Amino acid sequence: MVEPLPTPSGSVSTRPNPSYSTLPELSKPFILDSSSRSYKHQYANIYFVRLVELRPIVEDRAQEKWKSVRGNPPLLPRILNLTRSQLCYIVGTVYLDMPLKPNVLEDMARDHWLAPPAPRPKFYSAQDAVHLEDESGRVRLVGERMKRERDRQGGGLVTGVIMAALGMETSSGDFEVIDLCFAGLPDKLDVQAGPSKANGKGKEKAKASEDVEMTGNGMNVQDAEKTWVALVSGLSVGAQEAPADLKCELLVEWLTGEGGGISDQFDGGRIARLILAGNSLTTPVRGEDDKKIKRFNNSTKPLFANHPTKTLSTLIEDLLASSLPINIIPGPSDPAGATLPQQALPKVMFGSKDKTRGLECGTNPSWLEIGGKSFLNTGGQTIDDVFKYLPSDSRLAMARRTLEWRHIAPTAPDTLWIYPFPDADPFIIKHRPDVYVIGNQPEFETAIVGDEDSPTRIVLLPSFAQTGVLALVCLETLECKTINFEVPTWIGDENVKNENGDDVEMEV
Amino acid sequence: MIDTKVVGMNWVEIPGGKYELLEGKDKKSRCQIEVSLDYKDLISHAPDGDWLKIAPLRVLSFDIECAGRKGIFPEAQIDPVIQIAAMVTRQGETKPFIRNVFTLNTCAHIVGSQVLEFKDERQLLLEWRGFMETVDPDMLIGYNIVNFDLPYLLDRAKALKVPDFAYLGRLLGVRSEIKETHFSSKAYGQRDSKAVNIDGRLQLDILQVMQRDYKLRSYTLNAVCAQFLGEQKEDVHHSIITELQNGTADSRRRLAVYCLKDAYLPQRLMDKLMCFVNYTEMARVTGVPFNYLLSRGQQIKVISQLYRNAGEAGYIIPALKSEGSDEQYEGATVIEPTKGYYDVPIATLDFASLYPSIMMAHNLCYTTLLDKNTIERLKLVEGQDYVHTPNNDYFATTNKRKGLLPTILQNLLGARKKAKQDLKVEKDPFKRAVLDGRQLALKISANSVYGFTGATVGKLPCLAISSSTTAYGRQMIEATKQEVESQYCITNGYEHDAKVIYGDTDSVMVKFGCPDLATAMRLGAEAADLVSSKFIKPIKLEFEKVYFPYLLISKKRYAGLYWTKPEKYDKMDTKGIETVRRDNCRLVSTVIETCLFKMLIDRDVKGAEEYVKQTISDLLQNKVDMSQLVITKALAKADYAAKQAHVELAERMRKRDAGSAPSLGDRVAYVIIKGVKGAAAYEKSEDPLYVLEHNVPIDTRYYLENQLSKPLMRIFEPILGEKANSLLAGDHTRTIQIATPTIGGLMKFAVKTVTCLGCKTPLRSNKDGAVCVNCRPKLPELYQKQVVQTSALQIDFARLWTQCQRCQGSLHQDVICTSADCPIFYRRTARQKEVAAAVTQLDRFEKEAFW
Repeated sequence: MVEPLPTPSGSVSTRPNPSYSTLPELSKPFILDSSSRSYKHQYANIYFVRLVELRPIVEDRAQEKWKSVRGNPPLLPRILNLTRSQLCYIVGTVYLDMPLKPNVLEDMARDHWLAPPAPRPKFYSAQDAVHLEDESGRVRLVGERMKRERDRQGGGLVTGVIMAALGMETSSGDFEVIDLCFAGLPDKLDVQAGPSKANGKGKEKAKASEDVEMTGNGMNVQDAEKTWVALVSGLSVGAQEAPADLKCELLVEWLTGEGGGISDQFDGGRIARLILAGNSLTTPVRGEDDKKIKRFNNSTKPLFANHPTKTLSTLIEDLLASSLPINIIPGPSDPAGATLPQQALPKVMFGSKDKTRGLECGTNPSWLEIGGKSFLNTGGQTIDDVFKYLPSDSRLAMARRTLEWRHIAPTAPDTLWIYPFPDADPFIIKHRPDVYVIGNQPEFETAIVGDEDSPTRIVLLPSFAQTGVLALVCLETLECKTINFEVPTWIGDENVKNENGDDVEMEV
Repeated sequence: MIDTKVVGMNWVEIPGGKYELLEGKDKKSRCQIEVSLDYKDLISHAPDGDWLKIAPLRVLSFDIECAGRKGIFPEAQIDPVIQIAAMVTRQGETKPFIRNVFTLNTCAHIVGSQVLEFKDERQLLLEWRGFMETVDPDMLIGYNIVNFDLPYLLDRAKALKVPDFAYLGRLLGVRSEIKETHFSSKAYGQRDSKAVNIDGRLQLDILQVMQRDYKLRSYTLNAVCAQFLGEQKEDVHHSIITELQNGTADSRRRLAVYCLKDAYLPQRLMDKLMCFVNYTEMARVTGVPFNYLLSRGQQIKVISQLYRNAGEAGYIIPALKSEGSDEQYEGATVIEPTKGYYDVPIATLDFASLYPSIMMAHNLCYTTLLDKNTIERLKLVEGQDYVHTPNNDYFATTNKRKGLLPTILQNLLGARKKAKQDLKVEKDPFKRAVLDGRQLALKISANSVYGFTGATVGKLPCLAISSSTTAYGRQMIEATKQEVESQYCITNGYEHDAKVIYGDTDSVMVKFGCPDLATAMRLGAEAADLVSSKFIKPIKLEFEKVYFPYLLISKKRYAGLYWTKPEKYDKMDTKGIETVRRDNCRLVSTVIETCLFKMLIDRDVKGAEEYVKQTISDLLQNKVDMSQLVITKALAKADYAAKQAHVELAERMRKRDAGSAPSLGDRVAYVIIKGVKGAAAYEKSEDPLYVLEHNVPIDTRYYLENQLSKPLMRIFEPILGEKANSLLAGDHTRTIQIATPTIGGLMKFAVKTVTCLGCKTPLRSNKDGAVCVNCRPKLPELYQKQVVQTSALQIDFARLWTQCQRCQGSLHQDVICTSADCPIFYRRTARQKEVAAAVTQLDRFEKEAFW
């Protein structure tokens, strides 16, 4: 772990320069190499790999959890071999049969002249049936326990989760569930040891970071010496409303240290890095002349406006000039395709090589290491999709559950569109990050999960264009706070409203 | 049956003390209870009240799988039966109480079903026969069992020398045999089929039900399920079946699951469509045994009733040797349609059961037919004792003698009226279904009486009756037209002159001229009463519906929005317009339906025109989805006299790969591709998958000229007149795009060049990049455009393939379904290629040095 550079106290602040790495071993699976990329594969491979990789983990945990159950129920290795009224547990992939789930066949069969019905915010219903499936077959899960799981605050199941179920087969061929077991929180990634040796636990690491108080109550590290990473999602450059662009201006000024005075409560100069987690650009509005019959290919009117990319480039250029390194991760509205993992935006988009030094374009999702802390950043589609299929409204709980399921995007490929990986499932969370960033959520939320000595900070970022919220995570303490940027209705008001110390702590 | 007054599907009572229970070796059958009694003691209960119920019959729904060889449809002499799946359900219950599958070789366990494994095929067949005997089903159902499954099982048993298998029925010592039958009916067409006698068990082949009662594009189990159950069915090609069978216990399980599903679907279809209830009622109404309903035509039903009534009235029916004669008689009249698009309500007046009513009103019957001599001999008075029909025949009136047919009809229509009344008050959904089935059966039966008298190859043709009936019908349609037009005119104080724009058989369409629905409906009802009053009872003209707007294309071809109440339309009604014709591609019905919708419901003729132009433009630019262009035809026999597209294609595919080529009985799917100039249409057919694979250009002109143009002209001509042609030519047809094939003569010499994504200029210097120098300023814009295209393809790709994964009911196994009927099938293959190409193009942007 690299200590932040000591900052000379003075009027001119130098940016801290913590260590930085893209954690290639973890990030590489998200990068689709054009030479091996192929769309000839089917999605069954992904489910297969997911089950193979997560099954041993779930089995171990289930064994641990249920060994004290009377009769010491055995593991049934194949769901097919279920025998009636024998208590046992099975491991497999959850599949939810949901009548409301969008169905491409229905969409195609629906009279094409009718406008499609407005998309629902949620797709669950009382008729949903939960199945558990392995390579051999599937069985329907029933019973009081399933109902409880569904109704439990922050509970519920989605397709694609690997889990174990304890119970027995009923006379009708269903599986009456007594208890469920998931993979549970994975071990924390040991950044120094590297992911390959991470299983050796973060014991030494916990020691190493003893000097860093985690929950932010004590102030072992002087405020002035803290190093921060700024997280912003949904800049939505190119949106129609002017205030959004104005807010971006304020953001840039503040980050470069131009905004506010020296007396400003918080020093923008202590920010080591900026992560733009998705939706930096808006979905382009298509020009209207597409319908017309074109005589020549070169229509004079551009279909898409050029300026958002240019505006964003300028913005980035300004920030880079103040030696603030930036990571850009694409989100749903960025021009990076519609399937996960979204590939990095082409860097040349933002200018020539020498102009964009310090800018990193990453995939969504992607891993980073900054100052000895690992970051797992996503554009938010994963939680958005899970949200649609669970009765609960707590996105924070869902983010937490993805860690427990050890899978960033369980609903892929069933309802979340992804690339058909032939022999991998890169979305499995083998190692828990220090910071788990989820972009493009409706509101800011944060929580700490995991043991006291190896916590993970979950941060749900709202759209900056809409809320003006910027989140800061302290590299030393993992404490998290927000800064609100608002464009006042009249000029001359204080531009930057600082909510310093408003360390939002929420236990999930 | 007739003597004891027993009808089909009838309850009978065996009174206590009158019978003798047979047991042990006295039994002549495998029935559970066998009794002997004098047939006169049998009490038959008419199906009323408690006797309305349907017996809890045990229904066995089954399906077999056989392992065929590559490229050959399974033959019973050679190819083994590898699986038989069965579901047994009690009629009226929703879930089967037995689900099992007999498999050859091992098969992994299936949750909720019993798996019976056999080493030997003989053993399997014998055990299955044993199962049949134990379960003792009252009815056998399945999909195409009469023509495939049952004969195959019997033939296979014969080939394997298992003679005992054939004892499938309930009578001891009676073997089930296959008989070839030829079925010819005016209503259902000609059909060669097989018949297997299984005494004591009813057979209901759902495929035959479908072919009789519904007009569909395709009758595969898959298509039928999509239509009625709203779900696609996984379709495993029979060449894969053998592979699965030769695999492991798990792959055989997969096959068994598929087989079980196929066994369950006929049951679900039957329940959903209430076939059993409706057919039961039909049997009860007409008095014929259940099995006759599918294996025989309409005549038998009429004969059955004729015999029953003749017996009661003391008539004897001559057993005529039926001899075909080509004598034709004049059919119904059609008032010449005044073609056009009507933007005012058109009221439709219908004669309720016209022909039966005429026969009743004028007492037309075999027994009342008179000739001149008889009239003179008996000194009958015209108008009082007999009538002179417009066809110059003479029939006695009811004063002298009431005819047999009118009596039958009266009973039928009376019963229908009663059934309809009961239906209104009945609450129990099950009884309602029975009653509804009954009234439908009664209606069909009443209408078939007329047809019976006119069937020249029938048992008892009497053209005097049928032609008199139609003659009266014609007269009445004309009379109605005159009546309506003379009454509702401006001279009589009405605002508009009414005009009959079209009339057919038993209905007339009247334009009253009023612009609003309510008035049209009021006038319609009035007119119906007025005209009815001028006719002899029970002939009745009814006002039923209003079409608004209404598109009249030609005789028997029209479309309109159907209103029965002024608040909201009921549906869009079309007659004789290409929406279900099977030899059209799907594009035609999509376009026609959408056009009609836009015209009739949105009343947006301009929008419909725009839509057509857009579609044609898309078609010419290769933007229409392949599945819309696929045409399917069954490969019925090996050598057709004339060369046909699908036969030629099957031959070519066999040369390419015998394994995957369609064999006899398969449906061949094809698209028309661009051929050498002047090539005949049959040479230009090609396998859609091959086309996708090799980017073969589609002959879009063919689709425009041979598929779309005629139906489009038909619906647009009444509206646009001369201008209709402008839809097919003009600006929108001038941009075309042709795929570059990867195979074929010239392509060997073609050199591929990377072109600029902005202006299609060949790139010379910047070969890895995306654009030429001139388009460089537009880079971000072009990038966005490419991203939007790519994203749409990616989403489509993901949605299609995950849907297939869901549909097959397993996440961990690859999709093997090859159902060409499924709208997804071609699209998902096309997307694989397209998405890869789009992503590669997107990559080119990254190689640009700067933007």
